[in-house]
Amino acid sequence: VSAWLAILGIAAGTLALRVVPAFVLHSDERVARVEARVRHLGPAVLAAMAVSTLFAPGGAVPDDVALRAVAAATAVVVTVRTRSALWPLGAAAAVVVAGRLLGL
Amino acid sequence: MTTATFTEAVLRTERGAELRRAARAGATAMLPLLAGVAPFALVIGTSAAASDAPWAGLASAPLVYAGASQLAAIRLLDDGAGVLLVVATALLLNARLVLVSTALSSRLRGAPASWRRAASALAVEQSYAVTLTERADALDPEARSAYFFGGAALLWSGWVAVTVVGFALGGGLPDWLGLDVVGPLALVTIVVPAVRTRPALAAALTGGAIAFLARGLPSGTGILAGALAGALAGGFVERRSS
Repeated sequence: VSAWLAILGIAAGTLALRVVPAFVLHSDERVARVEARVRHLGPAVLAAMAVSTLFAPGGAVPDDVALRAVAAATAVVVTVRTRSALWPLGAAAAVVVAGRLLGL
Repeated sequence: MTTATFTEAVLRTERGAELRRAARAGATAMLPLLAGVAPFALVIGTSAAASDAPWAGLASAPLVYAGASQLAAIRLLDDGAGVLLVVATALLLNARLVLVSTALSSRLRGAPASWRRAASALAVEQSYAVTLTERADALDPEARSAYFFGGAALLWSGWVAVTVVGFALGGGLPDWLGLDVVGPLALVTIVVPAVRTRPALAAALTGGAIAFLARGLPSGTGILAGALAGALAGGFVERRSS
């Protein structure tokens, strides 16, 4: 029962976190004002999330941080070259698999 | 049928077809991102299956739909944590969704408010990211919303489906598959195309650096701190260059 209570509580709270900004920003003018202030929020959120989950999962730096850095660099380079998302992901995942199979 | 009514009907039909095309394009653009999050969903499914409350863990996929908090909740519940602590931790991890939803509302500016509100319920980094593509840039606000809904619907249903597959597989998957890093790497492939200007570059670099430096803070707050610092840095560089 407590597990279900927790999941339902998280679901309700998370839905509120998602929809409240959309209700607060009910007019285009208000959205425009906020847009000017949060224009760079998107890249910042995504980068923070990527770095945190890649290089500090659970708050600790993982043992294979060098391998992760090489994989991330591979993803950046292949993304810039191909402007696609699938190729860089495949290349970076291949780096991780090869590195782990080699015990790096 | 009068000429005016006929013209309106044709326009509605053409507009409907245009919105459906935009939704299909959004779903297509989402495919690589779905491939990126699929391993994470697989891990959540296997973790739920191995937990003390497997069905509640599985139900978190469609209901919560935010991977890090789902995984944290499953692990905390397994450790015997109280309901309040589990909910508080998960919501702290998900606090960033306020920022994602705000950015999404801004991105869909010009679309009907009811569409923006419905869209916000599906706000996650990947569904927002799909609206940053050049294809989405070229669309009007309503078509961009349709583009978002096409991508977001595919992402939500794919997330749930892959979690169910992981749940069915049950047992642990080998580490060498690298499933733990594919999700973050998918985010890297989203960030890079979104960085088109110097302020955006400053925002991304600062956001990443602060999130790393703040890794010792309680769960999720490092990401929040990085996001806010990055947004401020982007605004600062923009003001300096203008």
